[in-house]
Amino acid sequence: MRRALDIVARIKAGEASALDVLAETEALIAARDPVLNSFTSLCLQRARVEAVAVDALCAAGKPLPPLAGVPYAVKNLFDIAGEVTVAGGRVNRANPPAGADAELVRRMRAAGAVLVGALNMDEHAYGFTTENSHYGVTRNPHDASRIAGGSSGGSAAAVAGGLVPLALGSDTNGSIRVPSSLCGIFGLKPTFGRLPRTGSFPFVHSLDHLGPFAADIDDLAAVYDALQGPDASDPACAPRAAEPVGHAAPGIRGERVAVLGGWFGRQAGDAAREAVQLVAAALGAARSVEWQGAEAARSAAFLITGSEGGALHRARLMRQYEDYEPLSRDRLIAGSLMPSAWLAQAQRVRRRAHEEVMALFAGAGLDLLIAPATPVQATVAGASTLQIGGRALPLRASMGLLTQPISCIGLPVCTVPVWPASGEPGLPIGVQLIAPPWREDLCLAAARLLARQGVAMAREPGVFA
Amino acid sequence: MDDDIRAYVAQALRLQGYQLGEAQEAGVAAAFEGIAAIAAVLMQDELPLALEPAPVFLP
Repeated sequence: MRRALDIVARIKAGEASALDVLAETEALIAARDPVLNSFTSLCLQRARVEAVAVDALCAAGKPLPPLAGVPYAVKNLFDIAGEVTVAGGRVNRANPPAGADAELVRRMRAAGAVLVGALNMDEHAYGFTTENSHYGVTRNPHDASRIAGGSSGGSAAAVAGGLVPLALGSDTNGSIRVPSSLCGIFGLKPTFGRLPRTGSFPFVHSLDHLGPFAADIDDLAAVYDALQGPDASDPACAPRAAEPVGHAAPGIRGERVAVLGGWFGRQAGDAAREAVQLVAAALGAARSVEWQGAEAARSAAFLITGSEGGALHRARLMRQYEDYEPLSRDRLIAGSLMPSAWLAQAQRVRRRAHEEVMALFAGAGLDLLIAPATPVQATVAGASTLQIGGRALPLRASMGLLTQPISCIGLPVCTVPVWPASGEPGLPIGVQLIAPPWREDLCLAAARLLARQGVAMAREPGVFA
Repeated sequence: MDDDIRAYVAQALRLQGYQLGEAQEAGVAAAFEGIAAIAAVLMQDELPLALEPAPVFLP
């Protein structure tokens, strides 16, 4: 797989032009995406304009921006100027084209990256499988009979499949971490409020995060740095200056790292448990701690999602029920019918959950918590249940059991890809590295340590071997 | 399915102005039953009166 920073180095050294890199990318998409179905549209004319701009800087001998000439793509809920933002929905196809790029797309352009297209997702980000009734199933690059996960399944599959070295996605309840886990790549869900959401299609305003995917940890850090900074247009974006992580590596001390037990152990299959053990051993984490309120936090996230998401779509569901995704439209309507007392309780539980975990970090002297990202590895497309310890659970709701408690309280998480010996052969599973608010540097430093040790890594996509 | 849930969903749909067919309404009721099961556990938790909600959440 091509690394973003290698591409930048090749262009800087004059070994390739941005247009050459774009041509390679077009060829990879043409060869591989018929199998994966990760893209829903391409914007190659725009890509050529962006690549030519990078090549012009090169020709003029001017300094190149940090992601010069790196091809990338975005989940199709990001605005792309001149394109309709479909957010995985048929119901949005008649909307007017976006008048401007999403703020993060604008920042990627400023960093020299080259946007090649938009990627598949669960409709309106409500799902964990990217089995989209309108745009098809996105397939796993390590086994095309299996799902890529969701809702940012196209983003993860495009990176894991080697089509693009970078992609952007969103995470409301796990939609960056779940597909990162199932496709075997690195994904970063930053602290809630870290990255601006201006120009992205919302799902649950109080839970929506945006973030990057990459097959390489240094690429992930580089794109994260390019995306940071305040944005007054997003009321949830913190007025906080960028805190670049660069290649700095704060020390990770094993005694300040612990495995999250309890809920996170009970809801994990064998492969997930093995992956956590491998990561814990590599980081020198000997302790296990329990967050008693994890299940309640997951329930709170579930209710808040239903209520806010249902209310957001209520008016259009009344008019265009048949145009909505059959897999999620009844859940959206049901969410809009919830008594207000349930939502109020969920928001109070959310506050308590945040206090509990902050006390865990401070009281136990911890910098980092480790937990599985998904209960199991990628399941076969079309499956409706997953198995944990002999229990059959509804797949669409349960793939996020281990991510929802964390995003409910907005903590930064880097998901790292691990390849356990147990479980399904040749399939990865992700581990969440969870830090206190605004400490993405710790998540990324631990991920970098694991990558250096060979414990966490992306692998060439098995489907194209 | 619990009759109370079916009745609640039917009335809430009318109150909000939804006009769904019988099969669609049954689908919504099934989804609501799942939400209600999770809410039932959460609502058993008697939280401290001073605990404020987090309607606009920033860590």
